[in-house]
Amino acid sequence: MSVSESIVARRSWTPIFGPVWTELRHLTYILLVLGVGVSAIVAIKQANVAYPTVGYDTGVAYHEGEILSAFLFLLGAWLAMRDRRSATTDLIASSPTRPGVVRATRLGALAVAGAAAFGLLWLIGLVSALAHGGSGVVDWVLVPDGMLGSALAAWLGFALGLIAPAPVAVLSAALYSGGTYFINTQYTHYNTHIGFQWLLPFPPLPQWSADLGYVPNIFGPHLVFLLGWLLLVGGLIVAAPFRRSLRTIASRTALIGAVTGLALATIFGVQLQAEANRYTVNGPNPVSWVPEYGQYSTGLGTPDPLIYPNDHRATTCATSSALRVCVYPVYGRSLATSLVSILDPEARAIESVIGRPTYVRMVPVAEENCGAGLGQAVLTEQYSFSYHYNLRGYLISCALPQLGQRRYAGFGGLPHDFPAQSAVALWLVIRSGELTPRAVRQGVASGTWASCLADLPCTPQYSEIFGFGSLGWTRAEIRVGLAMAAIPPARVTSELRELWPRIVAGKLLLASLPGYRQ
Amino acid sequence: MNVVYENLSHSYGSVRALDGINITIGPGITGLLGPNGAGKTTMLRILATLLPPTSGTARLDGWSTSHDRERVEIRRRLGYLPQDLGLYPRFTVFEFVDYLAMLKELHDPRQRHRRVREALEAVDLQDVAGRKIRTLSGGIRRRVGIAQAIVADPQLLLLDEPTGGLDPEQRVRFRQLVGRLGEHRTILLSTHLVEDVSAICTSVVVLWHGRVLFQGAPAELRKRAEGLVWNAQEASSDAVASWRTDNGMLRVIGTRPGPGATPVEPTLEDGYLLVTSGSPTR
Repeated sequence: MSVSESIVARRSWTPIFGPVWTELRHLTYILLVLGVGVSAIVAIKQANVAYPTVGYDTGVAYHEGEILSAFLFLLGAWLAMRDRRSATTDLIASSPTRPGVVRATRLGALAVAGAAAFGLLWLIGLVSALAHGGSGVVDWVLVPDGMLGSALAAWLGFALGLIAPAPVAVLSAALYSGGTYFINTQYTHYNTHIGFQWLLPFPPLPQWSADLGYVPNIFGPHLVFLLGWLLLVGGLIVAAPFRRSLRTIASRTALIGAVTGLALATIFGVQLQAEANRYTVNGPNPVSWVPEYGQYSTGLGTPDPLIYPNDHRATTCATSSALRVCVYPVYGRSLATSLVSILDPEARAIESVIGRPTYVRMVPVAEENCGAGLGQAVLTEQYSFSYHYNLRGYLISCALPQLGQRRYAGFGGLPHDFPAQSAVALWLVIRSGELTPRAVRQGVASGTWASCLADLPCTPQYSEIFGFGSLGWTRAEIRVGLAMAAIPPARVTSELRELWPRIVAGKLLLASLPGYRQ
Repeated sequence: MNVVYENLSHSYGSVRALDGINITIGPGITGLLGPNGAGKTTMLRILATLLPPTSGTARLDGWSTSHDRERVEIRRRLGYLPQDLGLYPRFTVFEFVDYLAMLKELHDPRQRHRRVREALEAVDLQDVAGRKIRTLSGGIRRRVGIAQAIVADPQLLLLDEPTGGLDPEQRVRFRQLVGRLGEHRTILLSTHLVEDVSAICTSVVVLWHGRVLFQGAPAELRKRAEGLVWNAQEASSDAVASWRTDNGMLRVIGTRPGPGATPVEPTLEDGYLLVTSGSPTR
């Protein structure tokens, strides 16, 4: 062997790719396999309770990148700590390859591993969607965004691993994943006025639509925002070893990258934050949105529900004599048909009173409200359409605004201030055939009724009766409802038609209902 | 290649590890001999560009370890086996040496792989090339360390306590290997084992509390003890060192032999003990 053989190839990209490939082959695959496995299981489980669409299922897989990130964070930290823990620091440092370049190769390997792991997770989501009958189109922008978010987690872990001991890295990985999960699920889930959630590597899914993508469409700025973070973190990691010789091209490049990244992350972070006020750039102007029960709900401390105006995008419809259901085309006609069959009994009962069919249209990620007007209701995309139970009582609660509001506020969130509406609701439920008077009487006689309403132990049978959707009844309301059910339906519907405006306004007393005096 | 240390000092806090070292080391195998804490490892780490000296300079053929770009030139010519050798346990032997070869700028895969194979053959590891490092014994790991040090055909080889953990047979083979490598290179071998130096070194530097006590050929060091080593029944009070040998007699190093003492041929170890004892020869 002699040096003059000169197999040394300086000033080329070869020094990067060789070590990147070697590092990739030796990354701790158990972390990658575990990360993809756990996040895929959660994604499949979550997607399976929703109506299958390719867009939504892959969106769920994208969002579980949050779980994958914890593992990638650990992977990055492990790689950063490897030299220290295996006492090879001197060997690496005495090689002519500069520390910044060594770090760059490791960041490269982590980026490829992170992107590949996310790609696999996303593919699993796609296969799962197709396997359980999903249709529609793929939102391709989720792929690069998820890959960037995954790489960022690995790089942040790497940065931490350079300076912190192993227990700190493990704790930080948990905090990183848990923190983003908490912000996603607890903090910003229903708040349309906060833009903070868009700054997360994986923004919350409840504001994602299979038809529209994210509402607002954040992905332009979000991609650049993540890219900025990667440049910042990567630039600092690579530049740090050069701190005593910042005159080299490599160190200057790394520093310029970090400064550029900081600028991009700041500019686009501010822009993302502002997106909160442009909630529906793809849909109708938010100015046209109207509060549904504004003052009423504000008094309860719940967010202001808004009615999403008809954007005329829900064009795939199915009808019956009492009902017209229109969904976004990506969901297909089968969903519309299925919804008609689920909702038709209630729609018939309602139609017998209000004299017109109910129009149900799909809306995107807007808050779930149903009071879009007389004979109208909206359904959000994230409903578990495959479960009949979730939609029981829905149209009835939509037809009676204050009860609909109780549905929104959560069961038990409202006092029974509208007993006439409640009693009418019970009559409509019985009229639709979904409950029998006998079952209601048995529930009341056994005393289970009170437990169910108070969220106390309650047998499943009576839970279904007395927790009918969001509807629930007091003893007096049940008495009147059952009495109305005993009267010939034609007479009740005739009287209710006249009383309907006062019922809907919440101004009718229980005593004014047809069955009260019986 | 010539290694030059000029007024080199290094301190760890208040502890002075090297104190004004001034030596020049030429091609061949030079043994750095001294007790634990003498400054041997510090000298090697400074030349390996891992440690900046507190003052003074260390140079390899004119490249100083104090300048960033020149450090890279030194590293390009350097093979280093640290005292506390660490390896990546999940890598195979071949992969690890190959990875280090990449960092040593051997980028052409075909030729690099040939070099890796040659390095592994040189340390007789070709049969375990595919084994994970975590499955290897300490002695074999040491040889992996040597393989990575020589894989890029370095002109300067720094070996810090290379025979630690090797059994006698491996030690002999190691000496043969280093002897071959030293024919065309500059090798600095740090050790506290005199027999290592005696067996393979063409020159020796004796360090003591960060200072150079001796530099020269091993024969010269041995010569320092001529006329000062004795076989005696009992040690004299002013003996530098004495110990009982396998013939039942005491081997005494000192200027005044005891009664009945007979002079014997000095060894390198005698010279080393004499030099480091603070005796009049110092």
